[in-house]
Amino acid sequence: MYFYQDIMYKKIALILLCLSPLLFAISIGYPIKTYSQIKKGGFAETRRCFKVGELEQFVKCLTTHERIYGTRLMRDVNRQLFLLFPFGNIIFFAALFGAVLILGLVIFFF
Amino acid sequence: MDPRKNEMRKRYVFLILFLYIVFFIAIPPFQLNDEPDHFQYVYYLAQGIYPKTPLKSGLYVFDPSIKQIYDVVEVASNDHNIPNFQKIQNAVKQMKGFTTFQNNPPLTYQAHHPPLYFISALPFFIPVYRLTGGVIPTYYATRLASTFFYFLAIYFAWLVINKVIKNKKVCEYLVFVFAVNPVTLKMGIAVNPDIASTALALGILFTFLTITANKMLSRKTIFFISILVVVATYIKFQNIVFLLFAFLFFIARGMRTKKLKQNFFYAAQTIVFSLVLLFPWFYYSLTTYHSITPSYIVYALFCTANLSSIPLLRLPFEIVFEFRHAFFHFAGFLGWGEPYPFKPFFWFYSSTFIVLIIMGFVHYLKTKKKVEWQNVLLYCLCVFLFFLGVSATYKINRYSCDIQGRYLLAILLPFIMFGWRGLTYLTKKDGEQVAYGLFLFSLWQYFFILCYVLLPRYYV
Repeated sequence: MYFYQDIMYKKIALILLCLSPLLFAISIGYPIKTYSQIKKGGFAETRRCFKVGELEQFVKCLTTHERIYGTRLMRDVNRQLFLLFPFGNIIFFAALFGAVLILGLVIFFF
Repeated sequence: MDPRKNEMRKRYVFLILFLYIVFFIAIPPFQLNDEPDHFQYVYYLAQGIYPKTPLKSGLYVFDPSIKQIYDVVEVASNDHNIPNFQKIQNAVKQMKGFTTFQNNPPLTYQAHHPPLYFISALPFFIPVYRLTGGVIPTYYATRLASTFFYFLAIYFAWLVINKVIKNKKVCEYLVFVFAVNPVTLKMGIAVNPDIASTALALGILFTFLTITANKMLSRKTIFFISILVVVATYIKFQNIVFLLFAFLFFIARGMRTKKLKQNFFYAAQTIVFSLVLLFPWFYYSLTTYHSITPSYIVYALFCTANLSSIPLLRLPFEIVFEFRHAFFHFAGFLGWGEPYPFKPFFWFYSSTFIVLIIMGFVHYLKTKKKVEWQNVLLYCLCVFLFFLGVSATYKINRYSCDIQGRYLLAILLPFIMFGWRGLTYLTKKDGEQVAYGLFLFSLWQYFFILCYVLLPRYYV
Protein backbone atom coordinates (compact mmCIF):
# COMPACT_ATOMS: atom_id res chain seq x y z
CA MET A 1 0.00 0.00 0.00
CA TYR A 2 2.74 2.44 1.01
CA PHE A 3 4.74 1.40 -2.03
CA TYR A 4 1.86 2.23 -4.39
CA GLN A 5 1.21 5.51 -2.59
CA ASP A 6 4.87 6.36 -3.00
CA ILE A 7 4.71 5.73 -6.75
CA MET A 8 1.48 7.70 -7.00
CA TYR A 9 3.00 10.76 -5.31
CA LYS A 10 6.04 10.48 -7.54
CA LYS A 11 3.88 10.47 -10.64
CA ILE A 12 1.82 13.43 -9.48
CA ALA A 13 5.06 15.28 -8.74
CA LEU A 14 6.32 14.47 -12.26
CA ILE A 15 3.14 15.77 -13.88
CA LEU A 16 3.32 18.98 -11.84
CA LEU A 17 6.99 19.35 -12.68
CA CYS A 18 6.38 19.03 -16.44
CA LEU A 19 3.50 21.48 -16.26
CA SER A 20 5.28 23.88 -13.89
CA PRO A 21 5.96 26.58 -16.54
CA LEU A 22 2.28 26.59 -17.47
CA LEU A 23 1.13 26.64 -13.84
CA PHE A 24 3.67 29.33 -13.03
CA ALA A 25 2.57 31.49 -15.96
CA ILE A 26 -1.10 31.17 -15.03
CA SER A 27 -0.67 31.74 -11.30
CA ILE A 28 2.18 34.29 -11.26
CA GLY A 29 1.64 35.74 -14.72
CA TYR A 30 3.69 38.32 -16.55
CA PRO A 31 4.70 41.72 -15.15
CA ILE A 32 3.22 44.51 -17.24
CA LYS A 33 3.43 48.26 -17.60
CA THR A 34 0.47 50.23 -16.31
CA TYR A 35 -0.78 51.31 -19.71
CA SER A 36 -0.64 50.13 -23.27
CA GLN A 37 -1.00 51.94 -26.49
CA ILE A 38 -1.89 50.83 -29.97
CA LYS A 39 0.37 52.45 -32.51
CA LYS A 40 -1.40 54.23 -35.31
CA GLY A 41 -1.50 52.23 -38.51
CA GLY A 42 1.08 49.66 -37.48
CA PHE A 43 2.11 47.30 -34.73
CA ALA A 44 0.65 47.18 -31.27
CA GLU A 45 2.82 48.19 -28.36
CA THR A 46 3.70 45.45 -25.88
CA ARG A 47 2.53 45.73 -22.27
CA ARG A 48 5.41 43.62 -20.96
CA CYS A 49 7.88 45.48 -18.81
CA PHE A 50 10.63 43.00 -19.65
CA LYS A 51 12.33 41.90 -22.81
CA VAL A 52 11.62 38.26 -23.61
CA GLY A 53 14.69 36.25 -22.61
CA GLU A 54 16.01 38.70 -20.02
CA LEU A 55 15.68 36.91 -16.69
CA GLU A 56 16.99 39.78 -14.56
CA GLN A 57 14.47 42.20 -16.01
CA PHE A 58 11.71 39.65 -15.55
CA VAL A 59 12.53 39.06 -11.88
CA LYS A 60 12.94 42.79 -11.18
CA CYS A 61 9.65 43.64 -12.88
CA LEU A 62 7.88 40.84 -11.06
CA THR A 63 8.60 42.48 -7.73
CA THR A 64 7.82 46.05 -8.74
CA HIS A 65 5.12 45.97 -11.39
CA GLU A 66 1.51 44.97 -11.78
CA ARG A 67 1.00 41.47 -13.19
CA ILE A 68 -1.38 39.96 -15.68
CA TYR A 69 -2.32 36.43 -14.56
CA GLY A 70 -5.07 33.90 -14.02
CA THR A 71 -8.40 34.34 -15.74
CA ARG A 72 -7.50 37.85 -16.93
CA LEU A 73 -4.46 36.49 -18.75
CA MET A 74 -6.44 33.64 -20.29
CA ARG A 75 -9.25 35.97 -21.34
CA ASP A 76 -6.70 38.24 -22.96
CA VAL A 77 -4.97 35.44 -24.88
CA ASN A 78 -8.39 34.05 -25.82
CA ARG A 79 -9.48 37.41 -27.25
CA GLN A 80 -6.33 37.85 -29.33
CA LEU A 81 -6.39 34.28 -30.62
CA PHE A 82 -9.98 34.80 -31.69
CA LEU A 83 -8.93 37.87 -33.68
CA LEU A 84 -5.99 36.04 -35.19
CA PHE A 85 -7.60 32.89 -36.52
CA PRO A 86 -11.26 31.88 -36.88
CA PHE A 87 -11.97 29.66 -33.86
CA GLY A 88 -8.22 29.79 -33.14
CA ASN A 89 -8.95 30.30 -29.48
CA ILE A 90 -11.16 27.21 -29.27
CA ILE A 91 -8.65 25.02 -31.15
CA PHE A 92 -5.76 26.38 -29.05
CA PHE A 93 -7.37 25.78 -25.67
CA ALA A 94 -8.86 22.42 -26.73
CA ALA A 95 -5.43 21.23 -27.95
CA LEU A 96 -3.74 22.53 -24.79
CA PHE A 97 -6.33 20.76 -22.64
CA GLY A 98 -5.92 17.58 -24.71
CA ALA A 99 -2.14 17.75 -24.37
CA VAL A 100 -2.31 18.20 -20.59
CA LEU A 101 -4.82 15.36 -20.31
CA ILE A 102 -2.78 12.91 -22.41
CA LEU A 103 0.42 13.96 -20.66
CA GLY A 104 -1.25 13.23 -17.31
CA LEU A 105 -2.48 9.85 -18.56
CA VAL A 106 0.89 8.90 -20.07
CA ILE A 107 2.81 9.76 -16.91
CA PHE A 108 0.26 8.40 -14.48
CA PHE A 109 -0.96 5.18 -16.05
CA PHE A 110 1.72 3.94 -18.45
CA MET B 1 4.54 -11.32 -36.80
CA ASP B 2 2.34 -8.44 -35.71
CA PRO B 3 2.79 -5.70 -38.36
CA ARG B 4 2.00 -3.05 -35.72
CA LYS B 5 4.82 -4.25 -33.48
CA ASN B 6 7.10 -1.46 -34.62
CA GLU B 7 4.49 1.29 -34.72
CA MET B 8 4.72 4.23 -32.39
CA ARG B 9 2.02 4.00 -29.75
CA LYS B 10 -1.01 6.20 -30.37
CA ARG B 11 -0.79 8.09 -27.09
CA TYR B 12 2.57 9.58 -28.12
CA VAL B 13 1.29 10.44 -31.59
CA PHE B 14 -1.73 12.23 -30.09
CA LEU B 15 0.44 14.04 -27.58
CA ILE B 16 2.72 15.27 -30.39
CA LEU B 17 -0.33 16.25 -32.45
CA PHE B 18 -1.88 18.33 -29.64
CA LEU B 19 1.41 20.00 -28.78
CA TYR B 20 1.90 20.80 -32.47
CA ILE B 21 -1.59 22.32 -32.83
CA VAL B 22 -0.97 24.63 -29.85
CA PHE B 23 2.14 26.08 -31.53
CA PHE B 24 0.46 26.14 -34.95
CA ILE B 25 -2.34 28.34 -33.65
CA ALA B 26 -0.26 30.46 -31.29
CA ILE B 27 2.45 31.49 -33.77
CA PRO B 28 1.04 34.49 -35.69
CA PRO B 29 1.47 34.77 -39.49
CA PHE B 30 4.88 35.57 -41.00
CA GLN B 31 6.77 35.27 -37.69
CA LEU B 32 9.10 32.52 -38.86
CA ASN B 33 12.18 32.57 -41.05
CA ASP B 34 11.72 34.26 -44.43
CA GLU B 35 8.03 33.33 -44.60
CA PRO B 36 6.76 36.30 -46.66
CA ASP B 37 9.25 35.54 -49.45
CA HIS B 38 8.52 31.81 -49.40
CA PHE B 39 4.80 32.49 -49.45
CA GLN B 40 5.20 34.86 -52.38
CA TYR B 41 7.21 32.14 -54.21
CA VAL B 42 4.21 29.77 -53.86
CA TYR B 43 1.87 32.54 -55.03
CA TYR B 44 3.91 33.11 -58.21
CA LEU B 45 3.97 29.38 -58.95
CA ALA B 46 0.18 29.27 -58.49
CA GLN B 47 -0.03 31.99 -61.15
CA GLY B 48 2.15 29.89 -63.45
CA ILE B 49 5.12 32.24 -63.09
CA TYR B 50 8.60 31.13 -62.06
CA PRO B 51 10.09 33.93 -59.92
CA LYS B 52 13.67 35.13 -59.82
CA THR B 53 15.96 36.28 -57.05
CA PRO B 54 16.86 39.96 -57.37
CA LEU B 55 20.58 40.44 -57.51
CA LYS B 56 20.44 43.62 -55.44
CA SER B 57 19.42 43.99 -51.81
CA GLY B 58 16.76 46.37 -50.53
CA LEU B 59 14.35 46.04 -53.45
CA TYR B 60 10.65 46.31 -52.75
CA VAL B 61 9.51 42.93 -53.89
CA PHE B 62 6.55 41.95 -51.70
CA ASP B 63 3.05 41.78 -53.06
CA PRO B 64 1.27 44.88 -51.64
CA SER B 65 -1.18 42.70 -49.69
CA ILE B 66 1.55 40.59 -48.14
CA LYS B 67 3.44 43.79 -47.40
CA GLN B 68 0.38 45.38 -45.79
CA ILE B 69 -0.16 42.40 -43.51
CA TYR B 70 3.52 41.90 -42.92
CA ASP B 71 3.79 45.53 -41.84
CA VAL B 72 1.45 44.95 -38.91
CA VAL B 73 2.75 41.58 -37.82
CA GLU B 74 6.50 41.68 -38.49
CA VAL B 75 7.79 42.23 -35.02
CA ALA B 76 11.05 40.30 -35.14
CA SER B 77 13.21 43.38 -35.12
CA ASN B 78 11.67 45.17 -32.15
CA ASP B 79 10.79 43.59 -28.84
CA HIS B 80 8.50 46.53 -27.98
CA ASN B 81 6.08 45.58 -30.74
CA ILE B 82 3.57 42.77 -30.86
CA PRO B 83 1.41 41.87 -33.86
CA ASN B 84 -1.70 43.96 -34.38
CA PHE B 85 -4.33 41.25 -34.33
CA GLN B 86 -7.19 43.63 -34.99
CA LYS B 87 -5.64 44.54 -38.34
CA ILE B 88 -5.17 40.88 -39.21
CA GLN B 89 -8.84 40.25 -38.49
CA ASN B 90 -9.79 43.24 -40.64
CA ALA B 91 -7.69 41.82 -43.49
CA VAL B 92 -9.50 38.50 -43.17
CA LYS B 93 -12.91 40.20 -43.08
CA GLN B 94 -12.11 42.31 -46.13
CA MET B 95 -10.82 39.19 -47.89
CA LYS B 96 -7.66 41.03 -48.78
CA GLY B 97 -6.26 39.19 -51.80
CA PHE B 98 -3.02 39.41 -53.76
CA THR B 99 -2.64 42.51 -55.85
CA THR B 100 0.61 41.90 -57.70
CA PHE B 101 0.12 42.72 -61.35
CA GLN B 102 1.02 40.13 -63.91
CA ASN B 103 3.48 42.45 -65.60
CA ASN B 104 5.41 43.19 -62.41
CA PRO B 105 8.84 41.56 -62.36
CA PRO B 106 8.26 38.30 -60.44
CA LEU B 107 10.92 38.70 -57.77
CA THR B 108 11.44 37.07 -54.42
CA TYR B 109 14.60 36.75 -52.39
CA GLN B 110 13.94 33.05 -51.79
CA ALA B 111 13.87 32.06 -55.46
CA HIS B 112 17.44 30.85 -55.06
CA HIS B 113 15.87 27.71 -53.55
CA PRO B 114 14.95 24.93 -55.97
CA PRO B 115 11.19 24.75 -56.53
CA LEU B 116 10.04 21.37 -55.19
CA TYR B 117 8.88 22.39 -51.70
CA PHE B 118 6.97 25.31 -53.19
CA ILE B 119 5.35 23.06 -55.78
CA SER B 120 4.32 20.69 -52.99
CA ALA B 121 2.60 23.63 -51.26
CA LEU B 122 0.42 24.34 -54.31
CA PRO B 123 -2.27 21.70 -53.51
CA PHE B 124 -2.84 23.55 -50.24
CA PHE B 125 -2.53 27.05 -51.67
CA ILE B 126 -4.62 26.89 -54.85
CA PRO B 127 -7.98 25.51 -53.56
CA VAL B 128 -8.08 27.83 -50.54
CA TYR B 129 -7.07 30.86 -52.61
CA ARG B 130 -9.72 30.03 -55.22
CA LEU B 131 -12.36 29.54 -52.51
CA THR B 132 -11.59 32.49 -50.25
CA GLY B 133 -9.38 34.83 -52.26
CA GLY B 134 -7.85 36.00 -49.00
CA VAL B 135 -4.15 36.18 -48.18
CA ILE B 136 -4.50 35.11 -44.54
CA PRO B 137 -6.65 31.95 -45.01
CA THR B 138 -4.41 30.97 -47.93
CA TYR B 139 -1.33 31.54 -45.78
CA TYR B 140 -2.65 29.18 -43.07
CA ALA B 141 -3.54 26.58 -45.71
CA THR B 142 -0.02 26.82 -47.17
CA ARG B 143 1.40 26.09 -43.74
CA LEU B 144 -0.24 22.66 -44.04
CA ALA B 145 2.46 21.64 -46.54
CA SER B 146 4.94 22.00 -43.69
CA THR B 147 2.55 20.11 -41.40
CA PHE B 148 2.70 17.21 -43.86
CA PHE B 149 6.50 17.26 -43.94
CA TYR B 150 6.68 17.64 -40.15
CA PHE B 151 4.80 14.37 -39.66
CA LEU B 152 6.78 12.75 -42.49
CA ALA B 153 9.99 13.79 -40.68
CA ILE B 154 8.69 12.21 -37.47
CA TYR B 155 7.79 9.04 -39.35
CA PHE B 156 11.28 8.78 -40.87
CA ALA B 157 12.84 9.67 -37.51
CA TRP B 158 10.90 6.73 -36.05
CA LEU B 159 12.13 4.37 -38.80
CA VAL B 160 15.74 5.55 -38.44
CA ILE B 161 15.83 5.23 -34.67
CA ASN B 162 14.23 1.78 -34.81
CA LYS B 163 17.01 0.64 -37.13
CA VAL B 164 19.71 1.91 -34.77
CA ILE B 165 18.28 1.43 -31.27
CA LYS B 166 16.29 -1.76 -31.01
CA ASN B 167 14.43 -0.84 -27.81
CA LYS B 168 10.91 0.35 -28.72
CA LYS B 169 10.34 2.38 -25.56
CA VAL B 170 13.64 4.24 -25.97
CA CYS B 171 12.74 4.90 -29.61
CA GLU B 172 9.37 6.36 -28.64
CA TYR B 173 10.83 8.68 -26.04
CA LEU B 174 13.65 9.91 -28.29
CA VAL B 175 11.42 10.49 -31.30
CA PHE B 176 9.16 12.48 -29.00
CA VAL B 177 12.16 14.59 -27.89
CA PHE B 178 12.95 15.27 -31.56
CA ALA B 179 9.33 16.07 -32.44
CA VAL B 180 8.70 18.64 -29.71
CA ASN B 181 12.02 20.41 -29.94
CA PRO B 182 11.14 24.09 -30.55
CA VAL B 183 13.15 24.21 -33.81
CA THR B 184 11.44 21.10 -35.22
CA LEU B 185 8.07 22.53 -34.21
CA LYS B 186 8.65 25.99 -35.60
CA MET B 187 10.01 24.74 -38.92
CA GLY B 188 7.12 22.26 -39.06
CA ILE B 189 4.81 25.27 -39.00
CA ALA B 190 6.70 27.80 -41.13
CA VAL B 191 6.16 28.24 -44.84
CA ASN B 192 9.79 27.28 -45.37
CA PRO B 193 11.50 24.27 -47.03
CA ASP B 194 13.65 23.35 -44.00
CA ILE B 195 11.25 20.77 -42.56
CA ALA B 196 10.76 19.13 -45.98
CA SER B 197 14.53 19.06 -46.38
CA THR B 198 14.84 17.40 -42.95
CA ALA B 199 12.16 14.81 -43.74
CA LEU B 200 13.93 13.83 -46.96
CA ALA B 201 17.35 13.79 -45.25
CA LEU B 202 16.03 11.37 -42.62
CA GLY B 203 14.42 9.34 -45.43
CA ILE B 204 17.81 9.08 -47.14
CA LEU B 205 19.48 8.02 -43.88
CA PHE B 206 16.83 5.35 -43.35
CA THR B 207 17.27 4.03 -46.91
CA PHE B 208 21.01 3.68 -46.41
CA LEU B 209 20.48 1.99 -43.04
CA THR B 210 18.37 -0.67 -44.76
CA ILE B 211 21.22 -1.60 -47.11
CA THR B 212 22.76 -4.61 -45.44
CA ALA B 213 26.43 -5.46 -45.77
CA ASN B 214 26.32 -8.42 -48.14
CA LYS B 215 23.34 -7.54 -50.25
CA MET B 216 23.96 -7.07 -53.98
CA LEU B 217 22.32 -3.85 -55.13
CA SER B 218 20.28 -3.80 -58.29
CA ARG B 219 20.35 -0.87 -60.68
CA LYS B 220 16.76 -0.18 -59.58
CA THR B 221 17.89 0.30 -55.97
CA ILE B 222 20.70 2.61 -57.02
CA PHE B 223 18.26 4.59 -59.13
CA PHE B 224 15.84 4.82 -56.18
CA ILE B 225 18.62 6.16 -53.93
CA SER B 226 19.58 8.69 -56.61
CA ILE B 227 15.95 9.81 -56.97
CA LEU B 228 15.73 10.31 -53.22
CA VAL B 229 18.89 12.45 -53.16
CA VAL B 230 17.69 14.40 -56.20
CA VAL B 231 14.24 15.06 -54.69
CA ALA B 232 15.92 16.20 -51.45
CA THR B 233 18.23 18.51 -53.41
CA TYR B 234 15.34 19.95 -55.44
CA ILE B 235 13.76 20.77 -52.08
CA LYS B 236 16.83 22.42 -50.61
CA PHE B 237 20.20 22.61 -52.28
CA GLN B 238 22.15 21.78 -49.11
CA ASN B 239 20.98 18.17 -49.52
CA ILE B 240 23.44 17.73 -52.37
CA VAL B 241 25.80 16.83 -49.53
CA PHE B 242 24.14 13.40 -49.50
CA LEU B 243 26.04 12.59 -52.68
CA LEU B 244 29.16 12.78 -50.52
CA PHE B 245 27.37 10.63 -47.94
CA ALA B 246 26.49 8.06 -50.62
CA PHE B 247 30.10 8.00 -51.79
CA LEU B 248 31.56 7.58 -48.28
CA PHE B 249 28.88 5.04 -47.35
CA PHE B 250 29.66 2.79 -50.30
CA ILE B 251 33.43 3.11 -49.84
CA ALA B 252 33.11 2.21 -46.13
CA ARG B 253 30.83 -0.69 -47.07
CA GLY B 254 33.32 -1.86 -49.68
CA MET B 255 36.15 -1.79 -47.16
CA ARG B 256 34.07 -3.65 -44.60
CA THR B 257 32.99 -6.38 -47.02
CA LYS B 258 36.25 -6.36 -48.97
CA LYS B 259 34.33 -5.60 -52.16
CA LEU B 260 35.70 -2.15 -52.77
CA LYS B 261 35.49 -2.25 -56.55
CA GLN B 262 31.83 -3.28 -56.57
CA ASN B 263 30.86 -0.63 -54.03
CA PHE B 264 32.88 2.04 -55.80
CA PHE B 265 30.80 1.23 -58.86
CA TYR B 266 27.59 1.70 -56.82
CA ALA B 267 28.85 5.07 -55.58
CA ALA B 268 29.78 6.19 -59.09
CA GLN B 269 26.39 5.13 -60.46
CA THR B 270 24.52 7.00 -57.71
CA ILE B 271 26.52 10.17 -58.28
CA VAL B 272 26.21 10.06 -62.08
CA PHE B 273 22.44 9.34 -61.99
CA SER B 274 21.92 12.15 -59.50
CA LEU B 275 24.03 14.70 -61.35
CA VAL B 276 22.23 13.93 -64.61
CA LEU B 277 18.87 14.49 -62.92
CA LEU B 278 20.13 17.66 -61.26
CA PHE B 279 21.50 19.03 -64.52
CA PRO B 280 18.38 21.15 -65.33
CA TRP B 281 18.78 23.03 -62.05
CA PHE B 282 22.50 23.58 -62.58
CA TYR B 283 21.84 24.78 -66.12
CA TYR B 284 19.06 27.13 -65.02
CA SER B 285 21.16 28.55 -62.17
CA LEU B 286 24.18 29.02 -64.36
CA THR B 287 22.28 30.76 -67.14
CA THR B 288 20.18 32.91 -64.77
CA TYR B 289 22.56 33.72 -61.92
CA HIS B 290 25.94 32.83 -63.47
CA SER B 291 26.54 30.41 -60.61
CA ILE B 292 25.49 26.83 -59.92
CA THR B 293 24.94 27.82 -56.27
CA PRO B 294 22.65 30.87 -56.38
CA SER B 295 22.25 30.64 -52.60
CA TYR B 296 25.81 31.88 -52.33
CA ILE B 297 24.81 35.11 -54.09
CA VAL B 298 21.90 35.60 -51.70
CA TYR B 299 24.15 35.08 -48.68
CA ALA B 300 26.33 37.84 -50.02
CA LEU B 301 23.25 40.10 -50.24
CA PHE B 302 21.76 39.30 -46.86
CA CYS B 303 24.79 38.80 -44.67
CA THR B 304 26.31 42.21 -44.10
CA ALA B 305 30.09 42.06 -44.11
CA ASN B 306 30.47 44.10 -40.94
CA LEU B 307 32.42 41.76 -38.66
CA SER B 308 36.01 42.66 -37.88
CA SER B 309 38.48 40.48 -39.74
CA ILE B 310 39.62 37.40 -37.82
CA PRO B 311 43.34 36.59 -37.48
CA LEU B 312 44.29 33.46 -39.42
CA LEU B 313 45.29 31.50 -36.32
CA ARG B 314 41.95 32.16 -34.62
CA LEU B 315 39.94 31.36 -37.74
CA PRO B 316 39.55 27.54 -37.27
CA PHE B 317 38.34 28.10 -33.71
CA GLU B 318 35.86 30.77 -34.81
CA ILE B 319 34.55 28.55 -37.63
CA VAL B 320 33.78 25.71 -35.21
CA PHE B 321 32.59 28.02 -32.40
CA GLU B 322 29.99 29.42 -34.81
CA PHE B 323 28.02 26.18 -34.34
CA ARG B 324 27.05 27.31 -30.83
CA HIS B 325 24.20 29.27 -32.40
CA ALA B 326 22.58 26.07 -33.65
CA PHE B 327 22.59 24.64 -30.11
CA PHE B 328 21.25 27.90 -28.69
CA HIS B 329 18.41 27.62 -31.17
CA PHE B 330 17.61 24.05 -30.12
CA ALA B 331 17.12 25.45 -26.61
CA GLY B 332 14.05 27.31 -27.84
CA PHE B 333 14.72 30.24 -30.14
CA LEU B 334 11.57 31.12 -32.05
CA GLY B 335 10.85 33.73 -34.70
CA TRP B 336 13.50 34.68 -37.24
CA GLY B 337 16.27 34.50 -34.65
CA GLU B 338 14.56 36.11 -31.73
CA PRO B 339 12.74 35.78 -29.31
CA TYR B 340 14.82 33.49 -27.17
CA PRO B 341 14.40 31.84 -23.74
CA PHE B 342 16.08 33.22 -20.61
CA LYS B 343 19.82 33.42 -21.26
CA PRO B 344 20.95 31.19 -18.34
CA PHE B 345 18.62 28.49 -19.69
CA PHE B 346 19.92 28.49 -23.25
CA TRP B 347 23.54 28.57 -22.10
CA PHE B 348 22.92 25.67 -19.72
CA TYR B 349 20.95 23.73 -22.34
CA SER B 350 23.54 24.19 -25.12
CA SER B 351 26.57 23.37 -22.98
CA THR B 352 24.89 20.30 -21.44
CA PHE B 353 23.70 19.08 -24.84
CA ILE B 354 27.18 19.45 -26.36
CA VAL B 355 28.82 17.66 -23.40
CA LEU B 356 26.33 14.80 -23.66
CA ILE B 357 26.88 14.43 -27.41
CA ILE B 358 30.65 14.31 -26.82
CA MET B 359 30.21 11.74 -24.05
CA GLY B 360 27.97 9.71 -26.34
CA PHE B 361 30.70 9.79 -28.96
CA VAL B 362 33.31 8.74 -26.36
CA HIS B 363 31.06 5.85 -25.37
CA TYR B 364 30.70 4.90 -29.03
CA LEU B 365 34.49 4.83 -29.39
CA LYS B 366 34.90 2.70 -26.27
CA THR B 367 32.37 0.04 -27.23
CA LYS B 368 31.96 -2.36 -30.14
CA LYS B 369 31.16 -0.23 -33.14
CA LYS B 370 27.88 -1.27 -34.66
CA VAL B 371 27.48 -0.60 -38.38
CA GLU B 372 24.25 1.37 -37.88
CA TRP B 373 25.92 3.81 -35.51
CA GLN B 374 28.87 4.13 -37.90
CA ASN B 375 26.51 5.06 -40.71
CA VAL B 376 24.68 7.58 -38.55
CA LEU B 377 28.02 9.11 -37.67
CA LEU B 378 29.02 9.26 -41.33
CA TYR B 379 25.73 11.01 -42.13
CA CYS B 380 26.35 13.58 -39.37
CA LEU B 381 29.91 14.10 -40.57
CA CYS B 382 28.75 14.97 -44.10
CA VAL B 383 26.17 17.52 -42.92
CA PHE B 384 28.70 18.93 -40.45
CA LEU B 385 31.35 19.25 -43.19
CA PHE B 386 28.92 21.11 -45.42
CA PHE B 387 28.13 23.65 -42.72
CA LEU B 388 31.75 23.87 -41.74
CA GLY B 389 32.22 25.18 -45.26
CA VAL B 390 29.32 27.62 -44.84
CA SER B 391 30.71 28.78 -41.51
CA ALA B 392 34.15 29.27 -43.06
CA THR B 393 32.55 31.35 -45.83
CA TYR B 394 30.85 33.54 -43.22
CA LYS B 395 34.00 34.05 -41.22
CA ILE B 396 36.39 34.62 -44.11
CA ASN B 397 34.00 37.15 -45.70
CA ARG B 398 33.23 38.72 -42.26
CA TYR B 399 29.49 38.04 -42.74
CA SER B 400 27.23 38.67 -39.74
CA CYS B 401 25.17 35.51 -40.40
CA ASP B 402 24.75 32.57 -38.05
CA ILE B 403 24.70 28.81 -38.47
CA GLN B 404 21.11 28.45 -37.37
CA GLY B 405 19.48 25.49 -35.66
CA ARG B 406 17.16 24.90 -38.59
CA TYR B 407 20.13 24.27 -40.90
CA LEU B 408 21.20 21.40 -38.65
CA LEU B 409 17.71 20.03 -38.11
CA ALA B 410 18.62 16.99 -40.25
CA ILE B 411 21.16 15.96 -37.61
CA LEU B 412 19.14 16.86 -34.52
CA LEU B 413 17.86 13.28 -34.25
CA PRO B 414 21.40 11.77 -34.31
CA PHE B 415 22.43 14.45 -31.78
CA ILE B 416 19.59 13.33 -29.50
CA MET B 417 20.64 9.70 -29.96
CA PHE B 418 24.25 10.46 -29.06
CA GLY B 419 23.10 12.69 -26.18
CA TRP B 420 21.00 9.82 -24.82
CA ARG B 421 23.99 7.50 -25.14
CA GLY B 422 26.19 10.03 -23.36
CA LEU B 423 23.74 10.45 -20.50
CA THR B 424 23.36 6.67 -20.16
CA TYR B 425 27.13 6.37 -20.03
CA LEU B 426 27.53 9.18 -17.47
CA THR B 427 24.73 8.14 -15.11
CA LYS B 428 25.29 4.37 -15.54
CA LYS B 429 21.51 4.02 -15.55
CA ASP B 430 19.26 1.89 -17.69
CA GLY B 431 18.77 3.31 -21.21
CA GLU B 432 14.99 3.27 -20.86
CA GLN B 433 15.10 5.30 -17.65
CA VAL B 434 17.41 7.85 -19.25
CA ALA B 435 15.17 8.16 -22.32
CA TYR B 436 12.17 8.64 -20.02
CA GLY B 437 14.07 11.43 -18.25
CA LEU B 438 14.76 13.12 -21.62
CA PHE B 439 11.08 12.72 -22.52
CA LEU B 440 10.02 14.48 -19.31
CA PHE B 441 12.59 17.22 -19.82
CA SER B 442 11.42 17.86 -23.38
CA LEU B 443 7.85 18.20 -22.11
CA TRP B 444 8.99 20.71 -19.50
CA GLN B 445 10.99 22.56 -22.17
CA TYR B 446 7.94 22.68 -24.45
CA PHE B 447 5.75 24.31 -21.79
CA PHE B 448 8.62 26.59 -20.77
CA ILE B 449 9.06 27.89 -24.33
CA LEU B 450 5.30 28.21 -24.78
CA CYS B 451 4.85 30.22 -21.59
CA TYR B 452 8.09 32.19 -21.43
CA VAL B 453 8.89 32.81 -25.09
CA LEU B 454 5.91 32.36 -27.39
CA LEU B 455 3.00 33.74 -25.38
CA PRO B 456 4.74 36.76 -23.79
CA ARG B 457 6.43 37.69 -27.08
CA TYR B 458 3.32 37.83 -29.23
CA TYR B 459 0.42 38.23 -26.81
CA VAL B 460 1.44 40.33 -23.80
